[in-house]
This record gives sequence, structure tokens and C-alpha cells, in this order.
Amino acid sequence: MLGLQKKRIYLGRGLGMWAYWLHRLTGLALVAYLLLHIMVISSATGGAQSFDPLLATLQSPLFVLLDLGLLALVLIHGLNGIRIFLFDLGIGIASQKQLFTGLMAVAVVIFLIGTAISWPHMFK
Amino acid sequence: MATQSVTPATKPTEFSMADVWVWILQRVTGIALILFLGIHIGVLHFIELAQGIYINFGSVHQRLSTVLFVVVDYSLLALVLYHALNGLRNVIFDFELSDSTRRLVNRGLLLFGVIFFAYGVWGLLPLIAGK
Repeated sequence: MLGLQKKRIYLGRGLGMWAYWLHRLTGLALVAYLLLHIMVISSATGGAQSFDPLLATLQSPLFVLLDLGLLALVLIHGLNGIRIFLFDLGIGIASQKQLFTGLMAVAVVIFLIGTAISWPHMFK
Repeated sequence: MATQSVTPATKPTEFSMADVWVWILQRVTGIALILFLGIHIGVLHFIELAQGIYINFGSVHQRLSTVLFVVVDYSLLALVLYHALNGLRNVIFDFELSDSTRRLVNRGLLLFGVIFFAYGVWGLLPLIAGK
């Protein structure tokens, strides 16, 4: 029977816990996206006649919106990944909460830029 | 005087040098992905989109006619598959598993990764060749 190792798994409280679980959940979602992404691009083996209609659908307004969700996942995972890497170097552990807040602020800024670029393509 | 034996609450985590390298590579691929994926997503999804360029067979072929982009795309494929599947392995290993199950997970993910890498390499060939 599968059971979480309660003594080893991180079940803390506060912002650090959110950072940890967000990293895991966004990571799992990105694994699923990656495999789908590879399969979509590999439709090129059927030539332009199978690649182009599929890619046209995936660039329709609905999917441009979904791409923003993908951008959010990548930003959370990537920027928090920098935080984890800094901890490995012994940097910033004491101010881990401020570091998380700061990096997520960067994520919001990049997300808003991405939204501004995508905006016209979501309503055509 | 009888010596009292101390039993640790949990078995100390055992790891080998191979585990250490797997862990280090997760960090190395992670940092590399910030750069590579930043370019990949930035160029394909946002810079080209801002210019009104849509992705189709022809536009991808044109981009892949530069050797640099072929190298970038295939490197990205290897980096991201390693990082994703090893990350999945980290999550799976949060669960209490027997050594034999762990070995099975390791071998299964390795095989899956090799197959998906080959699949990705094969999938991009027509876009490089342009037919």
C-alpha cells in the first residue's frame, strides 16, 4: 500500500510550504504538457497536411488563452527553481519568504507582458 | 550495566554517488532550461506572435534551416526530458516504495525517456528536411 512517508515529507506551514507544493504541482502539470507537446510536434511526420491544421487549431483564441496558463506554470516553476538553486549554494535561506515574494512579483510582471502580447490574438 | 540500543525512528536515507550525480544534473538542467526555455517560449510564443507570425510547417522549417536552431531544439528536448522525468521520479519517491519497486521506477522512466527522445528526434526530422 502506498503511503506518504510522514516523517520525511515536507508538511510545514506558511509561505515556504506553498512554494514547495506549487513547485511540485506545476512540475507535474508541465510533465504532462511536455509529452503532449512532443506528440503534437511529431505530427510533422505526416507532412504539412497533418501538421498545419493541428497547429492552426492550437493557435486559435482559446489556445492562446491556455498558453497563458502554461506561461504561468513555467514562470512559477522556473523562478522558484532559481530560489531552490540559491538555497543549494547556501544563499538566501534566512530570507526565503522575501525571496519567494520577490520572484513571484517578477513572474507577475512577465505574465502581464505575455498577456499584453497575447491579448489581440485572443479576440479575433 | 546494559547498554540501551537506540533505534532510529526512520532508516537513514541511503544514497550512492550515482544518486548525487542525478541530483546535480537536475540542478544543471534546471538552470540551462531557464535560458533555453526562456528563448524557446519567448521567440516562438511571444516575439513571433507579437509580429503576427503563426507557426506552420513552412515557418518551422525556415527556422530550422539554421543549424543553431536544430542544435538548440534537440538540446532542449534532451534537457527537458531529463528534468521532467527525474522530477517525476522525485515525486514518486516521496512515497514509501520497496527497493525493487524503486528499481522498476528507475528503469521504467529511463526507458520511457529514451523512447520519447527518439520519438522527438524522429518527429522533428520532416521539419528540418522540409518535406
